[in-house]
Amino acid sequence: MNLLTIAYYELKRILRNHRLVLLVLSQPIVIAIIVGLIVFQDPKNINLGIVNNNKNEFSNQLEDKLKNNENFIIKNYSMVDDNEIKKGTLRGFIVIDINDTKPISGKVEVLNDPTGRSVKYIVLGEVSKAVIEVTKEIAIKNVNDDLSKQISKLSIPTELAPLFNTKIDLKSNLVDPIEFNDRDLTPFSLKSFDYFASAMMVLLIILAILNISSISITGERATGTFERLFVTPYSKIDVILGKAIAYFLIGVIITTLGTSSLYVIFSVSIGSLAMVALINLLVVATAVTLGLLVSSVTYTVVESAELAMYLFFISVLTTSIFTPIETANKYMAQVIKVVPFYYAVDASRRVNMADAHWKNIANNIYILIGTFIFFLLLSIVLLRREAK
Amino acid sequence: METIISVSNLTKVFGGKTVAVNEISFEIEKNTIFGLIGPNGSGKTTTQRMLTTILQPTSGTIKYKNHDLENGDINNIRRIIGYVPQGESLYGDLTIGENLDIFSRPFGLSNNKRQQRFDELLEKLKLKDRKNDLVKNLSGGLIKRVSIAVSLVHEPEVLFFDEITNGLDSTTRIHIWQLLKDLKKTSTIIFTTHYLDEAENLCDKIAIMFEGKILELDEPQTIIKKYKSKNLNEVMSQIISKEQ
Repeated sequence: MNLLTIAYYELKRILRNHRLVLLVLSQPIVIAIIVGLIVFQDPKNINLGIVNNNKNEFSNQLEDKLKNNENFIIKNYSMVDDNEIKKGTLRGFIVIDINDTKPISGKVEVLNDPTGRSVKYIVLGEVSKAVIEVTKEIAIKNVNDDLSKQISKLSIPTELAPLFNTKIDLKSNLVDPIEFNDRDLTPFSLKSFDYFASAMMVLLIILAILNISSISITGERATGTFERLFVTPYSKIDVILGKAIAYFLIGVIITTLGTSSLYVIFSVSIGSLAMVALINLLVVATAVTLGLLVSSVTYTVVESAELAMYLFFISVLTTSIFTPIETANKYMAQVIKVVPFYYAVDASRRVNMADAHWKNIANNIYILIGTFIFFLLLSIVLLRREAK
Repeated sequence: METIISVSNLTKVFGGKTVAVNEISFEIEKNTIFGLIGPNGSGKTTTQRMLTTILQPTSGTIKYKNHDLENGDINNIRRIIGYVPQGESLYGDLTIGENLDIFSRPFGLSNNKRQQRFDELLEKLKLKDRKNDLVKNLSGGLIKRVSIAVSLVHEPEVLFFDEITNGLDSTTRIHIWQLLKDLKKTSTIIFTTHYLDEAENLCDKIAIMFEGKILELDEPQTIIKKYKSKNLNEVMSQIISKEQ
């Protein structure tokens, strides 16, 4: 089997290059650790300024609630100072304007740092919660005040007056008419990093494998071994399949190291192991054949490396690693749906975060198998025997 | 003598406009040394690359003794040829033995036969003690010898050498000349060279190429006589001044 000879020696040559092995194998672990530590938690310790314009019972109550929020570090200001935002000292200002007149009313405004995008949503959520609670207190006070006013207008016999002199305890007698809750529909207890971890499992493989496999043929063209191989009875199928086997085996090690690092160090959510393994192996196979395709159609090592990086970044951006597909322009959303790695990340997330099984991700798997075969055939067909 | 290669109206055009080889025809006889000589860009390397199946001709035919390149007999042709490219063209991170192994496997020799051939060739090319050395650690002369050994494992009927002595010292060159003369007993040799003294001493027949055409095709001494020159260097000078 000629292709096994190619595979054996390709593997031997890679493993003999100790620095290359160190670089390739350390990549998934190091990148997994860095990303894991960067996307470690939901935003915490958010620095905010508070401007309480009319200090009174309710504005102070709101201020205290916000100051006790564990996500915030709040400092008082007499007025909004936009220099603090420009300097990056604060992520925003909360301006409280509650009047102590009767009935009590007012407004609360959140002024956000435009550069702290995801922080904004946390601030808004927490401030809304606090405002709703204080608004409820104000509503009760307004109702009681109004009631007292109405009662005082009535001619009540002196002996009955104590009966009307108690305030209605709305707080304990009224319940919220609509209860609103939300939760993720999953048996897993998810952290914010899990969203990225599933994508990382896929992207780490693509990064490491695409880089190394994309220069394998152009590298041989540069040294002249490729020309020599093709004056022997080795066929294009032998060369491409042989190299594919070698890089596939390296990819299996990379995916095992990458996924294990994410699991061991950050306890990321992992769904069905069999499904995770299947997705990762298909990503390895697709990345290997894409790399070989790149190497088949380019002329020099620099060209191959450039094209591989180009494709890697397109893959990163189109796998919805940062934002869900719903944020994409409607035409771009259609383009994303022809990028095979989108289906890999989608399947990986659904398995690891929503506990999806075979029947839920079968289409994604078929698309990956089809893409891998397509890339493999295309790299065999487009492989040129001769140099430019 | 038996003809082993027949080339007829061979043409290679790159990119639809650059004519590298222009309707050349020649025959090569068995167990002879045939030299393709000419200045840079004359088309000798392109001709050799078409003969070794690396490049597909734009038109014309190449026929090996029993095989026709046009009839898709490419794999059978590859089984009977050996090729020593100009550069190192070896895996630097494999040993001499491993290089011999990877390039000889597809010829279908039995393991015993291959090992026997490795031992013979390593002995003949004085590489026996270096079998387990990585190629990247060898000197230029040694690499050239490994390159020749690699092309000989399957005992090819036709051997191609592309500027084999380029950049080698005179001792190594003489050693390689001797080797070519030995190889001629069992194989037909086709080689390209810039060194005209080399062609004059070694070749039974030469083709002088210029701008993709063969201007002269004969034994070196016959060509020298025809141009009333002392050697091929003078012949080449006359040809170049006449053509330019």
